[in-house]
Amino acid sequence: MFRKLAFAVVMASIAAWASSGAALAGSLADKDVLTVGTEGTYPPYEYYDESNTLTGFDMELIVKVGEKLGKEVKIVDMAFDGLIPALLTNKIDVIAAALNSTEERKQRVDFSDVYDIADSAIVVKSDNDSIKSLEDLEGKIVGVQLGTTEDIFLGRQDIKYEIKRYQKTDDAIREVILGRNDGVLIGTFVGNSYIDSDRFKGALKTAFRVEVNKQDEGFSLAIRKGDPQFLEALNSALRELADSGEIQALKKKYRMD
Amino acid sequence: MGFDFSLVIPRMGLFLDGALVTVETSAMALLFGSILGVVVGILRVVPLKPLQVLAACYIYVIRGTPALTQLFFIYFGLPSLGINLSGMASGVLGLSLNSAGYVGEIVRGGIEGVPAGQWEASRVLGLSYAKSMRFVILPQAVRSMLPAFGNEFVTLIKESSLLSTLAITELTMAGQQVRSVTYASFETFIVVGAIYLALTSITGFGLRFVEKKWNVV
Repeated sequence: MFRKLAFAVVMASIAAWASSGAALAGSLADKDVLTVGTEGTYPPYEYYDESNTLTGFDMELIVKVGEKLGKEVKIVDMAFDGLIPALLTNKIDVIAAALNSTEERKQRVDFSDVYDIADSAIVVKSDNDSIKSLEDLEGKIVGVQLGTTEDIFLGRQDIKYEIKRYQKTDDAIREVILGRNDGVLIGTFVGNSYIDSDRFKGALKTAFRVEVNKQDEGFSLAIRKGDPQFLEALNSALRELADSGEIQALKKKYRMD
Repeated sequence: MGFDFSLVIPRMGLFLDGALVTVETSAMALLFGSILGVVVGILRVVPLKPLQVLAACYIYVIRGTPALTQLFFIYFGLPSLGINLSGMASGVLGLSLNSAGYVGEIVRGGIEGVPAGQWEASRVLGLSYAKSMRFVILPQAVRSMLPAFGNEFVTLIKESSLLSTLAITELTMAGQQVRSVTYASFETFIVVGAIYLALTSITGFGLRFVEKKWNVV
């Protein structure tokens, strides 16, 4: 009897504790500090520079957005596939990680207006001339970052290749250089960053480009559902930055045009 | 905060494929790790100082560094020396080398646990050191080593989750993949955890059966 009672009490407290997380989160509009999640191996959107500081287009953008909203921005670097789960469990408040606003993700989170759109590319070793189309990847090994729209795209094709999934894009790129993988499907500008980087200069090239995302599913900031007040503030900050030409200037700076 | 297993259950095939890879890699690592581990364990007790020191150093390094660091070193580090292994090869090699360090200590313990009288008796009967080891000491040591050995297999099943970082689609990576499309973290890791528990339980039962058969106390 006592055991049953104790068990019920324990289960009830676990349930109460599990549900309290959601109740705690009010509107982000009332918070002074925004905790922003990103994945730091995605140049030129987010990456570590020589002084080991997290920088890039998204990072500068979110700081500017924070300034417009009068909020301090604290950035957390985590695994890409862990970003949405971290947002849903209140570990972060905003995702700024070149996140495509796809239908599937919209069922879980709210997206700001799209601030950029880019296609993707298959990047191969520079001496590889045998891969010119998706069909050429038959029987090959293709790397991709786990949980990205490129990952989902590869999984949907009717081509028999082996998909290797990585937490970090630089690992996926290194595998191509080491010859362990034949190619990697990656955002075009991200691929270009690696191709042009001093570290990999001359070793890589773009084989061909792929339209992975729909035009209206470009990069957006993501927040938890049910905070229309903050979503509107976010969108108006983005609009102001677009109208003032600051977003365009950032794109130019990071060679995304 | 509702839970919705309907997103996760239809992807059971992915989990089971992953679990198969988990079992394969752990079994291979157990096999190679045991062979190497027995060698390391014997070297640890042979009356030849340099060999003892060599084996002790091996155990010292393996047990003193994280398995994840060892795997990263083999997979990402060794290509700098021209040794370029696939994810699978690196993973099985890394887990085997790691396991050998622990098995080595189990074997040493087992050998040292055999009463000294057994050694003396076999030497008096004119058996060489090697023959005493092979025919008298090891057969007795193996019995007492068996429970610890079983634990090592259970440990390997759990440690093989580290292979997810080498782009190997074992059970944990399968879970991460499912989570990356469903965003159902709770449900996914409940299922992943349940499958691991099933694997380690089956292993545990199997071992208890063998122990009974061999009359290990």
